[in-house]
Amino acid sequence: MKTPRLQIFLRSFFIQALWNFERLQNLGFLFAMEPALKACHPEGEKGCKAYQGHLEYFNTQPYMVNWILGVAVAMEEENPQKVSSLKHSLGASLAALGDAFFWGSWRPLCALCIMVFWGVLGLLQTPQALWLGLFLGLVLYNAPLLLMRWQAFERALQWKEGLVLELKRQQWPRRTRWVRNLGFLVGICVCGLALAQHPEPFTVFRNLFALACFLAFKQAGFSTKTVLGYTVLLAIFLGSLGWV
Amino acid sequence: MSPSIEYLLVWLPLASSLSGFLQLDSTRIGQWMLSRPIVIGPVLGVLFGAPELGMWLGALWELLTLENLPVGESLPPNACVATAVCVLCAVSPAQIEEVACVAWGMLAGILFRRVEVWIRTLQNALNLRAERLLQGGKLPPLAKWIFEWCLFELCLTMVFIYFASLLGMLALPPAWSLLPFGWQQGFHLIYSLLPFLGLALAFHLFRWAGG
Repeated sequence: MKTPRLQIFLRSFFIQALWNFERLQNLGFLFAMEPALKACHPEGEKGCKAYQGHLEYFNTQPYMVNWILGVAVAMEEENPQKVSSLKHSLGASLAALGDAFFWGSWRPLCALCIMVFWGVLGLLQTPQALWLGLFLGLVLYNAPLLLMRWQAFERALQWKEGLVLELKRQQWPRRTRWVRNLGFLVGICVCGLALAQHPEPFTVFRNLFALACFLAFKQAGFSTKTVLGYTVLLAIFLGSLGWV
Repeated sequence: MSPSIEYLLVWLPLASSLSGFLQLDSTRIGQWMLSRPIVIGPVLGVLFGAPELGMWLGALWELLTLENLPVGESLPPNACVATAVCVLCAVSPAQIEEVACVAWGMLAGILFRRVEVWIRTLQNALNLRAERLLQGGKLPPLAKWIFEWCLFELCLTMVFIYFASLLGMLALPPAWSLLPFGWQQGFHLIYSLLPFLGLALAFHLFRWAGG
């Protein structure tokens, strides 16, 4: 059977399009699998049964779904009974890796990079600095992501069940740590740019003091909502006393 | 200054539609970062001839929502809607204080989360429909459902952003003027410190948060 790879890959971008609280990404996954299911099981009762198998609960990080799709397509051809258990076990573990890497590290890093691009391009007085910075940031975010997603699908088709070992070799937690360290450095650059907006010594001191206080509160386990709430109360209090 | 008819009938609907389209990227299609505040802020700013304000507010919202992770069933306040409403109020002819726009955007983002929960709950019914169709020997029309639900969310987002921004433009200036002067100064102080709160969240995320 010839797998309609491109079609499945493109459909993987809709994995959360029918997200529901009952079974999360099940319908999106079924939508992505549809071309493979149609190729494996031409119309008929068997085809419907294969569809029904994919209606069960499914959830993972949306960028990591291509790994699971690759394995599921390969197994659908060889051993359809195993697809369900593989989907479940891979979905949860890949979600943990993907959430930490993409949502918790890569996306914040790229967002901060856009701010640095704006700052640097602005200082260089580049025309169209806004669009150029935005374009560079979006390419930085999406280009490796698209490549990873396509490669993930291709590799998972080949590796099948051996995928778990291969993923272990890829050392995702180490990559996450690396990206986070880089993000911390880029964050310092953004902080420098923010401080340079008002370079008066008192304002710089006040802002750095506030940053240190916010960090201390977060470190102490306070939620952002609580920190913001206390800041509002304090600012109103100081304002009422005429100390602002 | 109150918004003109042209603004209300052309520019605001146009900006709301654009924001609605970009909002689809947050969950339904792609997740290419197009729905992030850092993108939507400057885009709306440029549309209304205030690119720097759009950039500033977009960057501010990005920092403030950096740690919101859409993991599993958790649904953080909608950053895209919050930014859109905030920027649309800030660039409006009503000349609203930026800090008031940020607070209004925050409220809009929190309220829109309820809309999202409602939509996702409605989508639970699709599971049953799919099962019934398959039992009857028919395949569920998934592409059609995706199109319909994207359209539904797009319309809801457009309407929400339009009316939230309009309400903000009408209500925020008198509400702000009612605040005691000291409070206004306090809010200005908070506004100047918000980027540093956002940066603290970023540092915390990169250095000390788990995962």
